[in-house]
Amino acid sequence: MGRHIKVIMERTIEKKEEKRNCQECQTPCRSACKTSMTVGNLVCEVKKPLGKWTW
Amino acid sequence: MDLVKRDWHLFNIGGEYFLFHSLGSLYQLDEEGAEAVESLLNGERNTDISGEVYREIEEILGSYESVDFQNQEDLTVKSLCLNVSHSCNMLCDYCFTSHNLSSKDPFMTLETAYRAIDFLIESSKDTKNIEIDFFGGEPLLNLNVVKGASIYGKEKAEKSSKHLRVTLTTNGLLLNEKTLDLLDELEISIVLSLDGGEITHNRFRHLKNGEGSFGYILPNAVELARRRQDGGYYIRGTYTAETLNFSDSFKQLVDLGFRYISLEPVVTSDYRISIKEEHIPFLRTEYQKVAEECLKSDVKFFHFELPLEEGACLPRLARGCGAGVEYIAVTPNGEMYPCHQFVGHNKFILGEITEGVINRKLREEFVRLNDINSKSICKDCWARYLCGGGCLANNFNINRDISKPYRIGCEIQKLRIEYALWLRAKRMEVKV
Repeated sequence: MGRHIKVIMERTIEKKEEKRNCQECQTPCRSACKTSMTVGNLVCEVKKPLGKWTW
Repeated sequence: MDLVKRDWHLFNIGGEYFLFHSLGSLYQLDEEGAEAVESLLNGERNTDISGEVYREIEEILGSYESVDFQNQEDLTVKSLCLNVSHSCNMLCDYCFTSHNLSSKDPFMTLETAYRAIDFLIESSKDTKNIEIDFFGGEPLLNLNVVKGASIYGKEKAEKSSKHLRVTLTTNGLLLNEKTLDLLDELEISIVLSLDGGEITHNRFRHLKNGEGSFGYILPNAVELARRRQDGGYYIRGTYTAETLNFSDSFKQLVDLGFRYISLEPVVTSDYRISIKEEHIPFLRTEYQKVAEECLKSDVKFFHFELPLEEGACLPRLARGCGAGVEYIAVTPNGEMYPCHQFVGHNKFILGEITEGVINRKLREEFVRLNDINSKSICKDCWARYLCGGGCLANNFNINRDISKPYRIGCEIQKLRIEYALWLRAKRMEVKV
């Protein structure tokens, strides 16, 4: 850790994931009349499978 | 060392400097470090800053190459929005559906719902996780179809070795004990519309006789939250130009016992209530207040939940909402649209549920626009892999052009991401 810059997290979108693309994660509808989910809110179903609920 | 501007975002919250990289990195800087980074982003070096500061920054940030991800593969249909009812038992001032839904045959039949599910199972090919979302109007006005389609869908999914998740968006008026029992049994996740406390909610969300709906909905919403303390619901509210102080609504909803909350900006061409550029500084303070509240509790504010380490892979992050490609809306009479917000606009009809997608040209346009690189504004935006390029329907509703991003929406999205990152950093501090 330096004096002028501190790492909080690094490369969380890891390079090894770049080619996974299994398309098993939720569909991120951006509409505000639902919850305007963005791709950033998506959870990877491979890393952390969701249970019975959507969120 | 050069820092590629489109990959980095330097921001200041409460006098603290943060630096985000599009691959999901977050750094905190002191003032001198921030000045050095700013100079590097401008392709220069500030001679007032010591070489030691630059050396330290280069040591940590020097390994990044420009991120330029190109998707090759197509997306598969895996999610349907079933508009099971075009009728509603409320008349909210800002409802986008009230002007463009047909009142003729407003309820979907079970037969149409079954056909839609068959289409989903078939179109999803090898994808295991599939979704349906009951929407309207008010879907609970057609509860038999919600029930029948859910049972049919889960059975069909199981036979096809798939997993079907079901969501329902409701105004909550009909969410009585018996209906909640059924939705619990069918494991249907619920989005319930509640704008905040009584005054805020009743300002726009009326019964058809003009009476405020808060008093009728609140007991149902409270019971929902009581039953689902570990998830399975979101309280979703709308804020407008007349109700900009949504942090108060957030606090009121928390005080009422809700733990899963999402508050959204209204998207409308109604000038009176639409969010405008001059509202952005005030909205920044509102998001900050909500983030500070979240830091003090375990309440989940939907837009601040960025699961970076457990998030989607880059190929998915480089795509948009999936409208018209992996997500399709079906009307009561079986017409298919790219998403629920396009329903009623005939030029966006993709096909009919019995014949599948026949408007190939329209689908291709949505495939193209779901690629983050297709829009120059998005392609060069630091937030592109946490945003996905915005809502195509909002683009149409505001700009009458699905390819032209809704600028206010972009600004709000960036604000939300900044505070989500700030919250992440602060939560990590608390843990340490």
